[in-house]
Amino acid sequence: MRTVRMLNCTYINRGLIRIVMLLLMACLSMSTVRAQNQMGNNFQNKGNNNSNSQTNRDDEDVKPEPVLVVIKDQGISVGVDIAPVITMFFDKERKGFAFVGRYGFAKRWWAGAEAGFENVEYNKNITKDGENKEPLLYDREIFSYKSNGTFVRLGADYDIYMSDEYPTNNNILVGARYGYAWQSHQCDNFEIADRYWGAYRGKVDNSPVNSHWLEGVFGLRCEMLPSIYMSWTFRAKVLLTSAHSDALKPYAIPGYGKSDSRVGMGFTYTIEYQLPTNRKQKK
Amino acid sequence: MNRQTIARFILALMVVVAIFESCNPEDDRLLSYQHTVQVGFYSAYTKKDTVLVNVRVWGENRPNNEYVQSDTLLYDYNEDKTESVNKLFLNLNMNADSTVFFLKSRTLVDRLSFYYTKSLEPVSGAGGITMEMRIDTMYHTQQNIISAEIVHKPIKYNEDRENVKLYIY
Repeated sequence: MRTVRMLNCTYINRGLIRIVMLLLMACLSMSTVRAQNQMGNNFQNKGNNNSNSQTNRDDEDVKPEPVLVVIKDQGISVGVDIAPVITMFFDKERKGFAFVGRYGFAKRWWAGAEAGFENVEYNKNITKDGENKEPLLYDREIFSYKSNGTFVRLGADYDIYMSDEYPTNNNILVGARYGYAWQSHQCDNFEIADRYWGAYRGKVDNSPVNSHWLEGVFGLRCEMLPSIYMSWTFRAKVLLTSAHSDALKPYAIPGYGKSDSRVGMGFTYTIEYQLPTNRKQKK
Repeated sequence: MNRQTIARFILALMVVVAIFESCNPEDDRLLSYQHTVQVGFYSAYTKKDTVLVNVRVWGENRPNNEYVQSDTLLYDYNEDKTESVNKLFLNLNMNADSTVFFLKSRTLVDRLSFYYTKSLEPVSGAGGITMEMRIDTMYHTQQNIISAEIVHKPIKYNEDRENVKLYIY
């Protein structure tokens, strides 16, 4: 009972941490974009000041005014999502990778597509004390689980930041995704200890899992170098359906995450390259 | 893009990573609750929780081999200990789809039968695989027990919830 209370407390603390971090993240996002905004503003003011002083010095010597020129990217960008690589540090059993694509089809609108794979594999055949030795009667853990899967996510983002006054290629994106994953998983052997009735042993053969979910997206996208973008998005996910065999639940759904909850959270961290098509200069 | 902006971007990213990590529950599961029916005792007259004295509980057709504990009793709150109990944790047999327990209080013995479905759930590389169960139905005799109610059908690891209410005299 005490252990349960401690765990509950841990979850409450995590809830508070989440709220605080969400607020912090929102502040940092706005702060980052405002810093970009300020840069553009300063640059434009500097241009105006130079222009005025030149007019006073010599009206005949007219030089072109420096103006802020931003190449507006509205075409296709492609990239990779390295969030699964980061996830591997926290969850060593999961290995995955994802590709992303983005197309600006209207002034503030982006179509987004993401596809990738995720494999899970873990094996254990040890006793409770952590030593690899001949299993004892009950104090042992034996299991072997494998899953291979692929996913796609399709949707759109809306740029809530795009400013005509101080144009930049940075975006604050709010959007949605529909996700679909198909995977196969199996449990080659397992044993669950029970001191009263005796251990339960068995195996579950390869079986398919098909999952559908929806995601709400919030994120930041910055042009770090010309045509090179870095972005992260924070995602709230709702699992719609996950069709699997009654005998074995999936450990994780590719592109969605841990399958033990119908509501999940995740993030992506992408590096994108803007293809040199359909680029517009904007003053 | 200046250094300050890059630093802010990276800091914001770190916050997102931290949020993501904080949202993943750890694998410190309390495995003692897995495949165990939580049974509470209630007064059939007042409907309030009550206690049962001198209780002994054992399972039917328990295997008698080296893989199980030697004591056949699951609980033994006998007369010498003069203990009372208001809650029991009954291990369901994972090797079957039904489990029968005998519940003895003083001289009266009740028979409790649980019928359930099972599914495996991988927890993690550290936590392994655990069993989730769902109580489909239950039957009982009426020596000490007047009636029974299934209040929570799923039996999940790390879940401290009462599954069955037993109303007694």
